[in-house]
Amino acid sequence: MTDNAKETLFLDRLLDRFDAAKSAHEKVAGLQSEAAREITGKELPTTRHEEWKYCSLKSLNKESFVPAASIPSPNLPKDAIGYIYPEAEHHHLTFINGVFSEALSKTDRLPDGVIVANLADVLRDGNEIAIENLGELAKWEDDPFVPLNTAVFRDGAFIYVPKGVKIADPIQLLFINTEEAEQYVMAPRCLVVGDQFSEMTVVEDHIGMGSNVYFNCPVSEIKLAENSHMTHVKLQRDSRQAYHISRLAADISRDSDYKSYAVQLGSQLSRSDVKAVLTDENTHATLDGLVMVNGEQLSDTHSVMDHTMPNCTSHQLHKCIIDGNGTSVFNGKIFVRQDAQKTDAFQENRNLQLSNSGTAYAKPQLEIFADDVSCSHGATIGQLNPEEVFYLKTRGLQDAQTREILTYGFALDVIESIPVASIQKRLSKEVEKFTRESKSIKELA
Amino acid sequence: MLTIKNLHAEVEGNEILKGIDLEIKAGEVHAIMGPNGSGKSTLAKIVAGHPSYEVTKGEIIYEGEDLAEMEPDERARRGIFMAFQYPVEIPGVSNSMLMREAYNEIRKEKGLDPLDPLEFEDYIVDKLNLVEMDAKFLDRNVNAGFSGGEKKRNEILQMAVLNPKLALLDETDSGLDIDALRIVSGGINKLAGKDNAIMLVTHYQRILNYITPDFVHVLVNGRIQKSGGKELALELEEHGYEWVTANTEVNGEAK
Ligand SMILES: Nc1ncnc2c1ncn2[C@@H]1O[C@H](COP(=O)(O)OP(=O)(O)OP(=O)(O)O)[C@@H](O)[C@H]1O
Ligand SMILES: [Mg+2]
Repeated sequence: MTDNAKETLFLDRLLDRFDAAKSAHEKVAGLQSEAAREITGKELPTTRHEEWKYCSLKSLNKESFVPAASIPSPNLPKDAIGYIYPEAEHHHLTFINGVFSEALSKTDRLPDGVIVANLADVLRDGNEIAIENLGELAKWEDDPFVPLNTAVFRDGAFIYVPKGVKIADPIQLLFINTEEAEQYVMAPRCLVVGDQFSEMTVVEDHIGMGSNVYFNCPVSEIKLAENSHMTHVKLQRDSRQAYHISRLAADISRDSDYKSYAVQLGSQLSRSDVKAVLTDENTHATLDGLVMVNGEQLSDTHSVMDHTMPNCTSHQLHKCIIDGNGTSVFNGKIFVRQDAQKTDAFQENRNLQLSNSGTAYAKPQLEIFADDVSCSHGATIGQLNPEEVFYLKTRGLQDAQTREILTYGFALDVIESIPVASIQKRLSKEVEKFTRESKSIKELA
Repeated sequence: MLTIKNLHAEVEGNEILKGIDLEIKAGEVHAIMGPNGSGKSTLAKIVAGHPSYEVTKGEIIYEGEDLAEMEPDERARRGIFMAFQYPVEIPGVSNSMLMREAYNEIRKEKGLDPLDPLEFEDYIVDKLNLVEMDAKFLDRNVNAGFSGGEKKRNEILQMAVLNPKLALLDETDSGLDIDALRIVSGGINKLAGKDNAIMLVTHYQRILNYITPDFVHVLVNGRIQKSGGKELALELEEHGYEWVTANTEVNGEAK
């Protein structure tokens, strides 16, 4: 870094590095240039910004990154294939530092007409569905990260499930982020389109191999046509020094059903903005979350559940486990527009504090413009229940076991609703690992 | 086995136990009776090591050792067991998993190898029979959705698995139907032996028809107002607690 570069703005500095990365497709390249213009000369939001109140980007602002794709031969772990869930054995795409790896991907046994492919290839080949939908869903006001991703993305996933096709086994999108001496940035893009009466489960898995600093800035766009069903599991297990800033937007049509389960475990700073728009009647959306933070980690989830039409239901159970000096932030907006009569919206944010020094911020925000609706929301912050702790200890279980068992019990309903057995198993191991890292209950008492 | 000397204890600044003396020897069964709120559960919980209660005076000696500084889990591993008046529901943990982990902790303490799930399955068969409990309860989460009586029976199943030296049974009889009371009492009797002791908190003579106490103590307002043999329970049943209170008001101390 030259002194000169240090003075320039973070976003400009990043964009500068990416000059060559434009899509081969003309229209997409146009989108990319426009997005780049949008953030040129812009500063990162500060904590004075209402939506960034508890999520400081000061340290990110000071970092410098090279495009991940420019790292010539990443330190790929030998057992990379071991991160593929057995259920996704036949359909998975793997990305190494955001770059598509054909060798580690497999898409056999897919029904006719289904596309599971690298987005860059699909766009280059001019796939109309992809081109038509790209950039149409992920829209936030006053947000630099979607445009950043749009401006510089190259590889990513494109999934298309045609009318009437149901895929029972999950499709895994595996993002392996390697340990490197250089700090890198990547902006993978995912676009999922489910046609009428389609069914699919998509698992988005971001895994850091080391404890290095990198910046992962993914954007996912989901579009579901009438009568379609999608389950979307996201696991964020990035390096503990990583920055993970992601955007997820889903448009859900009439009689359709979208269920998202987002699990945040890694990163020093993880910020995820999710938005579900229920665009027509009889739609359901679930945006559940499980967050575990310890050490100095911060995990911030901002969600928007947008009810625009009548007779829709939504479900949000967001659970956070906070240990050490960890911080969790949950800001959940529910809009019930004027036409959205008979909306049934449920939102609950529960925080389990395992230490005295952790922090949880919860802010439910309901904006209701219809009169005949049922909306419930609640936020709780609590410690392990002392009566439960005592009960287990009178059975001879030690502090660590007690803590592990009860923490697992707290996380269980989110874990159990994820319909992939090996992910459930993985998560119970993650809870175990998390609680073992902790100090004993006694020390904290 | 257990010696309690002049035990005073308080919770959130309220004194609940106001000088308890109690000596329980191996092979004995002690029944603790007394009105609601007199401190029976508190006494049991303090012996088990509940952190909310502060012992302000006196001491509890178990097998020659002062329990004051001992964590509840260590007490449990040394052979103290408490069957709760209100057993706690633990979501996310199967009953068999809890019992296996608990039993293995005790085995570890004794320098024995832990049992794996299959070995434990074999081990627990007899225990289930002892309290006539269906094996389907093993896979359910601890006490979750159990009926009142099922919870009580489950406490005694855990006692059977852990085979404690000193069992503190807090109103195990309340909530049990007539048959269940007979079965569970029979189980407790089989677990009692010359090396074990039982402190049984109850309101009713009924259970004492099955489990014959060597001593009956009446706890009133944080003090043992009267102690006697098994006949005392019958007298109480007949006359009520006022009779004890009236009897002891002679020395002017009790309220
Ligand atoms: N954590 C607590 N906070 C405040 N008061 C308490 C607490 N625990 C017990 N107490 C009080 O101590 C007294 C004794 O309670 P305890 O549960 O020991 O009674 P008990 O003899 O077991 O009654 P019961 O027959 O109804 O079970 C009661 O007045 C109760 O309200
Ligand atoms: Mg009681």
